[in-house]
Amino acid sequence: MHSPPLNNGITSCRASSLSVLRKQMREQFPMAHEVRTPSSSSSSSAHLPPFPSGALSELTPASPCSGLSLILAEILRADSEHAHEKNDSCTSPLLFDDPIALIDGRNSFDPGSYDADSCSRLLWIRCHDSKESLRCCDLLLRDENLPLLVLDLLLTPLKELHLIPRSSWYRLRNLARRANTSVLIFTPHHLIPCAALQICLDSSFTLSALKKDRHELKPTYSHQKMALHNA
Amino acid sequence: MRKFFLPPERKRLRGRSTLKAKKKAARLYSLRSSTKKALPLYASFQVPLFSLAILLRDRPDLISGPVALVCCAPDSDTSTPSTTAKPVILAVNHEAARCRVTQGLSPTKALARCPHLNLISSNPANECLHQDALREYLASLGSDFEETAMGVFILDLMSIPHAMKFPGEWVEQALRKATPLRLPLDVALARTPDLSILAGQSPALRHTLRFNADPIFCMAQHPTFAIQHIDSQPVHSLNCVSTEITLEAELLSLWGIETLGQLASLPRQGLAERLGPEAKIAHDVLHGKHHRLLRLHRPPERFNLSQQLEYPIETMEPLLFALHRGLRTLCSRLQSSQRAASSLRITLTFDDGDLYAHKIELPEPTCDSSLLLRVIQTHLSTIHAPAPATGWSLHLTSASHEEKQYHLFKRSLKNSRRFMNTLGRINALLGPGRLGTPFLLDTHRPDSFQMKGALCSEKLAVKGEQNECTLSPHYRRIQNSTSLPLSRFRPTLPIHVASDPEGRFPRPLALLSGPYCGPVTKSNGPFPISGHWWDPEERWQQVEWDIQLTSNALLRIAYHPPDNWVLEGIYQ
Repeated sequence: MHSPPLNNGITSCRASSLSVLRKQMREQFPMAHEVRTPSSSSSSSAHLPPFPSGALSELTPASPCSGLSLILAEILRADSEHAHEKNDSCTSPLLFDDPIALIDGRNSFDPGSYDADSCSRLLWIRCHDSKESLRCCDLLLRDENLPLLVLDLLLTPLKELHLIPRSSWYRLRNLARRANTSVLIFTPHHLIPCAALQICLDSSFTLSALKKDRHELKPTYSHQKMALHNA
Repeated sequence: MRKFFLPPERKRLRGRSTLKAKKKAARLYSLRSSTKKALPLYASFQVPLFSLAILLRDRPDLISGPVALVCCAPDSDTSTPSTTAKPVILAVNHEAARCRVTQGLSPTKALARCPHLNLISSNPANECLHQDALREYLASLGSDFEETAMGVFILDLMSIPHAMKFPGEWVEQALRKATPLRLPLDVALARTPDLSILAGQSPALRHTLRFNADPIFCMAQHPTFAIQHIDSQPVHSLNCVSTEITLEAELLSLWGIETLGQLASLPRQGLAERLGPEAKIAHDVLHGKHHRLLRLHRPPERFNLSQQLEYPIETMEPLLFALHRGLRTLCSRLQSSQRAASSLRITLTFDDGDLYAHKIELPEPTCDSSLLLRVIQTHLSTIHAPAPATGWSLHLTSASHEEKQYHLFKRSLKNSRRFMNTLGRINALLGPGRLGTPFLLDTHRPDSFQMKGALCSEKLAVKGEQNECTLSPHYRRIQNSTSLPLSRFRPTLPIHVASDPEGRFPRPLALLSGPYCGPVTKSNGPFPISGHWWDPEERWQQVEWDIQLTSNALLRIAYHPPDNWVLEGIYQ
């Protein structure tokens, strides 16, 4: 007769202690309790669209100076800021934040245009041609260690890009899905048939933009396609 | 009385029983004597006045005269060696001691007491070399020895049966073996390590080796230790024996106790009550009751293996097979000593006499032979052998196993070894210098950076900090001078530019050749930069312009006097 009220009491006591424990954990480790959707970006920032993890994202410029390099700068900066926040909470020398691999198709990355913190988190792979770039991308995706790869093919000649078989992109897509890696590909024109996200940057900067501060420049973009295969 | 009248059978029985008992006792005695533990024996090897002896070895002309060793002592006020350090006498030979030159005197005072005194400055590097040579000599005599001080060693003779049976003969052989060192050497034997040191200071107990053109051997008058032979030694000589003993010689001197014999004759209990436990230890040392353990010298373990092949190897598989066998041996040795390999060095010898050596740093210490083989295989696939391989050599640098505490909510590389292997494969694909983390150099020269090795865990963060620190504030200020990042053409593309020659620097009007042609609508500049003007070979100078074409392309071009234009990059 008295057992159900007793059980209820124990259950309510457990529930209250659990809620207290959860609250304490949430307060102590706020980063771990972020609400993340399956399609959440691997580098989230106010100026950046969410890049799906485990998929390819293609970014193309509409004009010669559309600010694609600003997106790379923001990714690097966002990561380093994120790292600083993390380091404030716990400064363990053995742990580190994930580096970002930049597969530079034409060896065009200029370290002098970025700050030292951004460069120090970068794994820069200086390729000669698109064949080498895809091979490096393939190797890093099979490695499954890095959550974000940036493949820069902007300065690669169109003739060379059209020689890439379409099956290569599908293979990369499958590898990215398996490794749960987000792959950002900068191309001069729409090229990748299996990209989960295609973004075209509409902005066009003029010479006067070079005199402004970097944070004042905000590239505008338009989604062309949003197909989340892993959603 | 009754036993004399025992019946003959009983007498016979009793006689048998005593015989049996005697046999049994003899058997027990032989058994006991065979299992009886031999008394320990130690040999002390001392080079008298080590620092001075090694200097006099190479200068025999000074041996006959008074000589003193001088060293700059740190200033007592600052306790740091500086320019104000005062030189003091560290050691003197017998002739100088006769002239009342003692340790701690200043050279001026020493010269005042002995005008013919020869002063020699100490040479620590030379001392280390001779100490190494002595260590090797001791290692050739026996494995268990202690390096007590510079020029002082104690050897445990328990592991040398010949020395235990015939100590005198063994000491003579040991002294003869030391003649190539050409250093004076005293050897003394005793039952405890501390007594062997004291015995080495007694002329009656020590066996000596001296040099006067030829080696002179002098055997001890009393080869077996007895406390009477060290009776006359001063009390403070005990302080040199062990760090545990710090007797106040001045206090004992006031009590009329100046020699070891006087100290040893005092009652142990009374000494302990008056001077504390240290005096008790000193008393025990003198009576051979204090038997401390030796701090045995163990040489650092080396994990290297090499093999000269009977037949030259032309393909990689048989070479990898041989290397794997060597790696397994080395890894098992590492495991047995609780160590792991932090880096490995591979050396290949080729048929044409060429040699290839490379050091591979591992992301984490490991003793997994197959993992090490995979790393080697990845690396070997990148090199072209000039001829068939005739030999190989592997050297593993040992380190302790890495211990790390993973955090619940922080992420690290899933598999750092696989990541390292992947980086190795990419490096093999692209060639050297194409993979890594860029670090800016502290210069104004455009496109100046350095590629550091593949990033790996904690090194990454440290490098970032270092990079920030090494850059000068001025350089940090001029960084990011443009808001849009530049994409560089490497190498820069030579272009033809129509320019306005008026002004100090020509102003670009139109690009006539190159990938981006057309009239210039807007331009920012000129930005003249130069550097290394003091060096005629490294000198550089250029004038940069940021231009916008009619196609809205933003470019950076540079003018190199007198008439060269290059396309440096594009803002994308």
